[in-house]
Amino acid sequence: MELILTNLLNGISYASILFLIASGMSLIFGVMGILNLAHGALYMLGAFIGITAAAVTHNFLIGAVSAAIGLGIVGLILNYLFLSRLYKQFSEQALLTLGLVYIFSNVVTWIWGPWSVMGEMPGALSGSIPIGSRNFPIYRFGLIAVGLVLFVGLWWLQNKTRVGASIRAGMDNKDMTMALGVNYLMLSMAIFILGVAMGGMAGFLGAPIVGADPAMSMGILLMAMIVVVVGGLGNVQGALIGSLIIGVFDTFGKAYFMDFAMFLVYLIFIIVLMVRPNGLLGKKRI
Amino acid sequence: MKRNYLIILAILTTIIFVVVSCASPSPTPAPKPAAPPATAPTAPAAETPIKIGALISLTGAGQIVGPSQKANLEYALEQIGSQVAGRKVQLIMEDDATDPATGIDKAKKLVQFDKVDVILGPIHGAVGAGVANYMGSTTTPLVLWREKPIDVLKLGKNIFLPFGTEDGLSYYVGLYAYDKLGSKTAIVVYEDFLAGVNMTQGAAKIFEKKGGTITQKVPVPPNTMDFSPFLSSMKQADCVIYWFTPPLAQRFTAQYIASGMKMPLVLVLAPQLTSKGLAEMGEKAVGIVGASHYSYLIDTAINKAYVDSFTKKYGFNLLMEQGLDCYITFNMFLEAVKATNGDTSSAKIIDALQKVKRDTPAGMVAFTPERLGIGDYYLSKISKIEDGSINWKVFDKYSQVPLDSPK
Repeated sequence: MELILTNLLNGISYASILFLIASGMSLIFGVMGILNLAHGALYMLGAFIGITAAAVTHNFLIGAVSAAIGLGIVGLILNYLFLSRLYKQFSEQALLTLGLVYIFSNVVTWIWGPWSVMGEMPGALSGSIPIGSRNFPIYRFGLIAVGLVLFVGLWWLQNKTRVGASIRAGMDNKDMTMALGVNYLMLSMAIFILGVAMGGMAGFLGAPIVGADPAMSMGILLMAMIVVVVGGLGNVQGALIGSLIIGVFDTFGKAYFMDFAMFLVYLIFIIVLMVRPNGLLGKKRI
Repeated sequence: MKRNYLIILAILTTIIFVVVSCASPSPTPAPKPAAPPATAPTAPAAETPIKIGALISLTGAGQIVGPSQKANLEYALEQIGSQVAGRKVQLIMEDDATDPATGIDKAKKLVQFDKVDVILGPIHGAVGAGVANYMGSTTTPLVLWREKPIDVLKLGKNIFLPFGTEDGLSYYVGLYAYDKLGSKTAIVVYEDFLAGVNMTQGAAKIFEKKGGTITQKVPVPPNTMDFSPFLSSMKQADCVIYWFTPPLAQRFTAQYIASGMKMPLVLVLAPQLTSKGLAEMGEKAVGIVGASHYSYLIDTAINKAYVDSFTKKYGFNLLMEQGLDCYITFNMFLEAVKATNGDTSSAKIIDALQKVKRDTPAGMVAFTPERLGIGDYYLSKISKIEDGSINWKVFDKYSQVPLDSPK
């Protein structure tokens, strides 16, 4: 029983990290129609920026904020210079953002070296709680809490605010939304910056558990894309569901079916795509 | 408007590419033009440089060791003033991108275009296997870095394995775990690819042969981020024998410690936890035991001179065992060149390489008749060093053994 509980908590904490990464990507793709293959690289960049800021200031919160703000600025530049001009040009978006993956990886190596870094947990969250004969790190509870708070915040923004209504309207019919006077371009840019900032912060928050290294971008991107596709594009609930399913199934799969650990998550991916090609909570696009 | 934008984008991209290329280490010269026609007079051997090719990992999963590899090779070249036995020495480094296909392509380029006299490296297990497979069909000697499967020696009589086999290193770890640590049961955890399997199976075999029991084998997929499911599945044993590539080794160790598990950790290859990684983990990592061919704390004059001089020029973070492999093999090749009085024809240099015996910062190195390395294995424990830093400290040694598991 304690093993099941431990794995469940592990799965949910892993799902929190996935949610932080994937929710941004889902919003960006859903709202802006931008296929951002550099999302994993931005996660990585956020981790390094945040860890550096936290090391200099000896303050975990400043590290998290720095990661978010730093990546927000990067997102603003990327969107303004490149991505806003490639609306619905998926091949060009894919090529450009793939190129950005290599650029960011090399920039990180250039500045921080090829080393992997782990990031330090804040003192208050650095212990562990006994669960039966096992110990569960308190930091993972912190990650679950952050994931929940972020989900509630994003859900409220998406469903209970005028901004959220405009976003949802734009996803259904961009032209009509703009014709009604909504500055959808500005809104899209804000969403992009928010999505990238969240990805960057996810990198910093995940670093004490999973670390960060310049070569990790594609691995992160792959997991984020699986979550987004499984959950469905463009809504926070989809990202949450996708994260939970992938996080928990992956964790239990690795714990109990070790020999199949390498491809279990892809099996889930394939099954969902066969049953619901738009994802579990995704809507069919016109 | 769109056309102008695309032009600006193209110019910006080109500028960024040029800047990054100029700033990044770039070991790839343009391919040499085709050889001159047969009627042209050939330059005397003394006037043609000795060409040493090297396959280093500047990008990809193995990039963590690339800068140290590059630094050690440049350092070795600088020490000899780019000259040996009356001939200039030219070093041609290529990035294998920690990818077998790229490694093979670069090896072909070094052999066919650059016409190198030797290839040193690569370091990564899968890349090494691929490159060795190609090199076995050539006459150019190949001196591999790090441990590789013994079977690579069967691919060609021009292939050398100075740092022995994965089985060999693993064997002595298993021996330590049973004989000295006193463990009767062990869990084996490894990154689930060729090197991971090879690195731990030797330990498992000798451990069981001695009478111990491997209670669990935990194969972990490469690039795993979250080890918690594997950690939760691990049952109690007397020790955990493990091996991962450097980023995962650090990740696994940190998560293991954070999980509160208390089984002693024995890492098959100590340098997988780098000095920088140990500095991050701090005192929590103290007590972990690992095996290696080297420790910067080895108390010999030659090692102290190397450590002092190298760190003065390149800094402590680039002082890595993986980089030292490059330095040692470079000098072993030069020793062979001196023995042949500068004659780098394949047959002569291969014969001379086989007879090389050289004192290095890692101890004396030589080859068996089968081109397998003879050297020292060190057992180290992560300890607080006198200067207050956390690093590997040698506490035991297996001296001058063929670097493979005894048959």
